[in-house]
Amino acid sequence: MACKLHRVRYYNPKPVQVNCVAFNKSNKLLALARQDASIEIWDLNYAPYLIKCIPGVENTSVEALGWVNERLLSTGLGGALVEWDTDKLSIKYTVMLTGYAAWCLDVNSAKELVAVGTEQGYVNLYSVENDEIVYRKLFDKQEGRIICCKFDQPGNILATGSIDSIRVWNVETGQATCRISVARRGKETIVWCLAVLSDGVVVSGDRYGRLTFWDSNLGDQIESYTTHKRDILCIAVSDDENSMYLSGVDPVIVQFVKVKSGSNKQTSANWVKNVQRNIHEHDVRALAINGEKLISVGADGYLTLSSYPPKWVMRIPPMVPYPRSSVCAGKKLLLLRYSNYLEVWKLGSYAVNKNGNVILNNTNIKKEIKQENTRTQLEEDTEVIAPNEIDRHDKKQKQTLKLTEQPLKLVSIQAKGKKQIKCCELSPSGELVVYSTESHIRMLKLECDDESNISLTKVLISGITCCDRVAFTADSRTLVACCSGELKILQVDPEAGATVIQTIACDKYLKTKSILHLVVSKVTPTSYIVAADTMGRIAVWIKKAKKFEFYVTLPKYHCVLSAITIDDRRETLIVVYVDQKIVEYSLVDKQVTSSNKAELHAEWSARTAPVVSLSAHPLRDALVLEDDVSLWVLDNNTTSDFEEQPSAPKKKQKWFKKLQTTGLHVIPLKYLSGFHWLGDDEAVTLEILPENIVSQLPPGIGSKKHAL
Amino acid sequence: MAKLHNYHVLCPLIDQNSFLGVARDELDENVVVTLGRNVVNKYRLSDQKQIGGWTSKDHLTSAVIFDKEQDSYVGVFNKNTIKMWKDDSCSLDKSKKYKFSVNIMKLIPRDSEPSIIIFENGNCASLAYALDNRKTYENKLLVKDSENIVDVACYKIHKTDYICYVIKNSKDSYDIMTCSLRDELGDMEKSKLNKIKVARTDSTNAHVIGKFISIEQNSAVYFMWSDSKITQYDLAKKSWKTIGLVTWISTTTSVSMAWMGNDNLILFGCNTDQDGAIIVAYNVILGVGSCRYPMKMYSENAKLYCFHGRIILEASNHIGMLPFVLEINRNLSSLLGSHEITQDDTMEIANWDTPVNPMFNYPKEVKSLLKLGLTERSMCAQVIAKLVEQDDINKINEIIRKFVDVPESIIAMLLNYAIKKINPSGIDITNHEEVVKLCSIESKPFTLLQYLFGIGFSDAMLIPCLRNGISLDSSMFLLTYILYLLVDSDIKLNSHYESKLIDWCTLLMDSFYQQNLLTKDEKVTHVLKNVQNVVCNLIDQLTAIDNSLPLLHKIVSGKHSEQDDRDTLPYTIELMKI
Repeated sequence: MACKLHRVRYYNPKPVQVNCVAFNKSNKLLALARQDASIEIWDLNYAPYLIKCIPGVENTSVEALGWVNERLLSTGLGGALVEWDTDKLSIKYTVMLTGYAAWCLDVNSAKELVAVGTEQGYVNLYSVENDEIVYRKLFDKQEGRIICCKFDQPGNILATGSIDSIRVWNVETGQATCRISVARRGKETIVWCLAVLSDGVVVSGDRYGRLTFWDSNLGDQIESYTTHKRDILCIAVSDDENSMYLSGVDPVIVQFVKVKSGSNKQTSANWVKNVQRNIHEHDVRALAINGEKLISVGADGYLTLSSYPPKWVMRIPPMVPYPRSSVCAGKKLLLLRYSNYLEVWKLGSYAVNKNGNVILNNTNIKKEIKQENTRTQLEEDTEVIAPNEIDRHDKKQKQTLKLTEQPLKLVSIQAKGKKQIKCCELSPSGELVVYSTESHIRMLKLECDDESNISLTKVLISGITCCDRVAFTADSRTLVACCSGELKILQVDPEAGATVIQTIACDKYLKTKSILHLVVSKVTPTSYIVAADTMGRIAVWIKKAKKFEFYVTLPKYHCVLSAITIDDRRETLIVVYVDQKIVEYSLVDKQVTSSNKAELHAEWSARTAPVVSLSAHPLRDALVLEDDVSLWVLDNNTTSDFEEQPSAPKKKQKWFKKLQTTGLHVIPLKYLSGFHWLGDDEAVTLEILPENIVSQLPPGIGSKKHAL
Repeated sequence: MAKLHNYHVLCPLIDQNSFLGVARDELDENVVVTLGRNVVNKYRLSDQKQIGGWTSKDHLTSAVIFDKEQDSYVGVFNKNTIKMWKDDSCSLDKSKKYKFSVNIMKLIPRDSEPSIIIFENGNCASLAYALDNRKTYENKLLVKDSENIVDVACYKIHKTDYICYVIKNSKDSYDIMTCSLRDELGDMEKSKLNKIKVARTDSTNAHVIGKFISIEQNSAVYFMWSDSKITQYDLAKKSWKTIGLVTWISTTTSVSMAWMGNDNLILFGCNTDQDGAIIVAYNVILGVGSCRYPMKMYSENAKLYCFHGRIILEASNHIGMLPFVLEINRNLSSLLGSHEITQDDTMEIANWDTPVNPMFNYPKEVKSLLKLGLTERSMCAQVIAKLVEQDDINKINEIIRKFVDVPESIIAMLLNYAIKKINPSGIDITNHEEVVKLCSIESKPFTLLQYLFGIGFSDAMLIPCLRNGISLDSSMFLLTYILYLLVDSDIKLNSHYESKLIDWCTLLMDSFYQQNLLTKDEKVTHVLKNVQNVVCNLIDQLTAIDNSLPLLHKIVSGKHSEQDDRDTLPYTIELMKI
């Protein structure tokens, strides 16, 4: 039976551009900072998955990031060097810098020293050994702001770039050993980015799109290439120093490779232009290399991974971190989370005829909009599945229902102090909305019996100030919140308020204090609370009498889990890890029941995107898994009702038949940002169309075609 | 002043040698481009989009035109055949052929009369007449074999149609041949054929490098000479005149010319360094270049046109389009330095025997002054000052209109005089109703004021006069009155006068800038706020027009679709198998 799917496409949070990234090679964590000063930490060990998000504060900025082993440092226009507590997701330590606003930061390879370049031309050198930040030295003041700085491999010299000049410093003495003038033709030349190679060559990218190689001892120019039409903003050099990538305002990513030439005695290495890739349409702000893959970020807000060869691109769209929506199935309410406000919508309803059947929209004259990408010949995402085939299949089946009511926005809730929201939830009864910023938790009672009379009243919460994750039990009378490694159970009464009745410390069962997933069982005979941390540990608590007691921890697995759910009917816990492994764990028997058959499918294991959420199918023994671009339906028993598919030309259907018989069904939805069941045959999807992201971005440089 | 905007490519050129020309389409904003021997395209100038086009198996030999009388496009094929087709016809090969025994040179469209066919032998006829009599058409040679028609145009003097040819002969010298045309038939009245040799009065050995028959503002033939001089042969007065020098263009190569409007010629030639090209807008009345526009590539004998506020130029591999604006010349000072004077060594015999009576009408008040040989300014100053003393407003109203060049001091004096006459001190100028009541009285002082605002002046000279001659209160009244003229009055203002009024507002505020700043008078604030409101309001209206124009265009062209419901959210409920 077909499912009635509410496709919500009006959820368009403003994409926020990425300012900078720092990649930690040892644990493959990527930290990226956006324009709104929020910092995201992505795990790139398997499928790239967002594990931590530090909300930004208004009027602050993060201009540069750096990893010192497991510690994350940042600096910005506020003129401070900040160390972040990646467990509690808050500031751990702050040092004020000399020279006002800071533009750049670099950590030496031994992870001992941090250099920060500032507006007034001071290089601040700090020692970061032994979990401390200790002031080491201030380099001689130079004219003009320092825009970029880089240590060499041994950490003896530091190169800094500013307007019209590059300086090479002796880190030991703090004195400049060489000043390279970059100015040309009397025009101001900004050196945006630098790289220092092990043979003492300094590579610079500047405002005029020039990539220049300099001798750091003599200050001579070795070679210069004009590779871009506009500013080069970033250079990334591979570990073996055999290739480098560069890009910038002109968003073409150009690769240079080192080529050895000459006879046996005199071998000289030359850098030559290799491939160039059209992946971005907007400024590329930062590049990082993760093994074979190139990470590029910029003004479009996407986190883009690419490689060549094989030619492969994967784009992760800018979205509000998970969980970003929540539904009340009974009242058909939808809670949407934006950066610093929430919206509650009442979903539309469809027309039903006398027999109780739905009425189809006959006047469905929507034209197929074929997007022609002639403008820049942008490289498409490399997808595992052939999307065209599915599209065609999908369009044939597309049946739109006649709407009797349009969706209606009931309320818009501004977060307290306009701070960014960390988590939010709508109670299953639809009457309570709870959200938390980094400093405040708020609960609001929503009354909307009749559309003209909508009211919001504050419900008092005591015993808790903020939380990272929050969940309601099915009766909406108990709230579970987790904050800095503790689970708080709150008794909720919409009139009297919410109070903490039990506090559970998780440190015994989990490895870190930052909890990634919090699930509360809905209709199982006994209530379970499941919490999972960012290291992949999962612990379960069970309700006994009045209190929750620790029940079990799941077996360890080598990677982070990306989604978790409780199958209420069978009392099993289903976990998807970022390496696409699906594990089913029986809560009654306290053991792993089976690994899902999905792993047998080549299509499943070939996936590169993580599952963002999953849910059990309410009618069949099947799982519905969601990633950014598609919805996957996995049937556990292979003989599903898919045999009744309309018979299309055999060739086209071949691939589908194969999937259907194996019980795998893929629905492409780009970009899917949420999926919720509303009933047995009704569901809601949140879709952010790529063109809606693009339309909210500032225009890229583009190329005007008409003017001479 | 002329200002040329950004250069656009109208369309690529297939082959420069086979390009035949551009003609005006049915609508002003479209042009018909005869790209090659078998391709004709229509383009819209505003967005450079192709809006139609035809191809033909037969070879076109001259530019296709749109004939308003027949409401169809007319083209010359294989030099001797004419075909006509409508806008909606898809193939040219099927349209009816009209074959002539004489070779046709080109077609000239005319605005209200039928188009003219020009034959290679120099004869011409209106299109309809020629088609009817194509079999029997006479075949008398008007130009010799050694001669060559290089330009031809039709013009009108005193309701009589004329045709003008510029003919180049084998010795590289030029002749102008003019002849009146018979009504309807459009052929020449041979008895009135007139031939003028193109030569310079001063015996230099300069040769012609550019020629152009202007028919729009005045009927004249312009020649550009190799010593950079531009001369004009006035077709009405039948006289020669030297316009001036254009030193920005290299004279070693040919120069293309066209008429831009508002006394401006447009010239395209090689630049003086001979490493590129240049477009020059040249004011033929003042004899100065009013705008220069450098270009990358020069092409010899490039075809140059001016349609609908745009210059159309044939370039090496495309047809370019340059939108421009022409402003009524208000500030001569902006042209200072653009005029180069070179010593003219040639001798001219002057006739000093001037007639006793001047050739123009003059009021009797200045008769005595004329004899003294005073300038217009000083005459005006003397006469008007005397009249003001006598307090004769009727006379002032009458006499002031006789002068073109009015001294700024007199303007200030008259303003003061008129205000004194009106005596606005009795009313409260912050009270809008009172003001309207006062200003709506039609009286002599108001007529004088209205005329004064239209007189041309120099800002720099008027400001001190205003500062000295007018009180702050009077300036406030003047501002209020200008606002009344702009907003409340029923008087029809032309755009030129309106822009003058706005200039006066600026000028009055400039002159009393410090007083306006320092005074805390509420009256001043009120008036200035009023000015601001009016200006903002006008700007709003302009933006409103700007916004609604595209919509109106869409409606006119019938392309406006019913507004799709934008209020509906991007939201659907679909049936899908999950």
